[in-house]
Amino acid sequence: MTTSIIPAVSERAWRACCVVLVLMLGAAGCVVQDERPMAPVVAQKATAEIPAAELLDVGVRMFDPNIPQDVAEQEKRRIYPDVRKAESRYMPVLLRDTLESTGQWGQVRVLPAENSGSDVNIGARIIESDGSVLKLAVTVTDATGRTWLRKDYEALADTRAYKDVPVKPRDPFDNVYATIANDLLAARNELTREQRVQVHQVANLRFASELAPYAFRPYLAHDAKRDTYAIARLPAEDDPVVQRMDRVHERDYALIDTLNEHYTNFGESIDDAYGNWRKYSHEELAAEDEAKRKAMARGLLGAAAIIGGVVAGQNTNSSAGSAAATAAVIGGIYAFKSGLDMRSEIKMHGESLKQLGSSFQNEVQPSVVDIEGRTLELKGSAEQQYAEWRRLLRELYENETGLPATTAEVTQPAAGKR
Amino acid sequence: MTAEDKRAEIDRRFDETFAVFDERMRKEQETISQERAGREGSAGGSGGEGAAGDDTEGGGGANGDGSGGETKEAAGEGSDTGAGASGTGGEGGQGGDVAAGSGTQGGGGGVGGGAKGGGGPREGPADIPDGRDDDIVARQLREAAMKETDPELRERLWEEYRKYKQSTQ
Repeated sequence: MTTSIIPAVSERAWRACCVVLVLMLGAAGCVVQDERPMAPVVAQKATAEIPAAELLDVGVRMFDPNIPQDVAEQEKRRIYPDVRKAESRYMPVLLRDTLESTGQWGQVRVLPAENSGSDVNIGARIIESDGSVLKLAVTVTDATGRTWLRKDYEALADTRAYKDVPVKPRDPFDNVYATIANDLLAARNELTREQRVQVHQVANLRFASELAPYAFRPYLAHDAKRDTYAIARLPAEDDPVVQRMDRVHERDYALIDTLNEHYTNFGESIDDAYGNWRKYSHEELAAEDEAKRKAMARGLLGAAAIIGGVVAGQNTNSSAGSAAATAAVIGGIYAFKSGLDMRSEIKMHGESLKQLGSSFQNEVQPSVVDIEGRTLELKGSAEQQYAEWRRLLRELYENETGLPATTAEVTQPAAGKR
Repeated sequence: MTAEDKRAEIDRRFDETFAVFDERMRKEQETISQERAGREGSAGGSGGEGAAGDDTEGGGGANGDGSGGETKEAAGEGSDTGAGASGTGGEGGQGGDVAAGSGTQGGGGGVGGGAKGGGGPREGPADIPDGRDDDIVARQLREAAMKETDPELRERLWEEYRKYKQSTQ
């Protein structure tokens, strides 16, 4: 049967079919995702002890959740505000843990969003996060104002993390965190020993000059145009104001460490539910993509068969050829309709994703509210202490120097805002 | 008052405020530790509840046999592998299986238990069970099917539900 048709069908008809099929394969190929497990990226660990003066502390600020104001836009992009808020606190903890595990750094802390007072400061904006893909826009600067990194990181989920295994698997996006850690290390290694030491010194002086600018600002050279800082000179270690400032600084670290405990607790409390959401979201997204691909393929296949059948029908005189052309058209219509039917399946997966997102959002919302409240409460109560310390430092400075502390305090940093 | 006396006075006030602050932080740390311990305990307890649900359901048979005891034991020991939760198996263990997927112990049992609590007889095709042992995925499929107005799509959702339930038994 087939052999009798082929000679009867014109070259034009087959060419038309081929064009449509090529389009079909190309279009289908665009949405296929690589489902294989990722090759793990390992965060490079320290092989030798780093001198204390060169060890840099790292602050990972709360990520920017990047939630669109427009609710319609949120729905279109499947962004659930409370889920994003949870992620903006959960992901920094993972990055912190990755950095800590390398032994390349001093203290690594998660900081409130407005904080910028560590030796090295990491900020990130969540561009995309749905269980299948994670995309972050990361910026890293140091206390001197030098930019280390400004880069987007994107990865597909490592599907091994979604398998049911008795031991806790890696995070599906561990590769992102490990890559950031390695890039951070590479950036640090480009600095000289002197530059690293200076970064730490500048960070300390910036903290001090925010609390007691009249005493510490003269030690810093600030380039307002480039917003960079350098050391003008160093204060004497036995300066009574410096010694008290060191004790205040220890309390600031204690506050940040306590906040970190809250963030860690928060991460642990949502870990289970968040893992489930990502896993099933990933499955639904993959199924939705597959359904879309099939729908497109069937639609195009049907169109190709219809075009081929119509053209063949016009170019054949034999009854067999005509019957085959009719069959091709009917088959094409069926395939086309089948493609349309897939739309309901796509809709179903879309609905499942919506349900998953809403359900997880409802589950995580109380935890988000709780951590926000606790952070504010702790910082609020510490604020009173900071006000008192500012006052005592001023009195001490005036007592030690006999000079009025006249430099206006340009900023009144909030507690924990170093 | 000499400069020396003044400095001593300032230092005394510094010490007082440091003591207040340190005490505040100490209490906060204590609260955090207690919460962590409580959560770990309740996570294990939830796992137990999940298993207990099997027993009360009379889900018995392959599902409930002995697994409840195992889950409770794992939770009691504070196992952090999640294997205890996932080991519940069968319908009652679905919540546990979910937990195993994310690799966290105990909490999975909670998911399973919650699903059971949220279930109950609802309208749907005759062969659809009452949903008391639904896990999070089954529950969401069920809810999506219940809400769907398009009969064809609703039937597809129920079909997905059946397939999912079959795959987890």
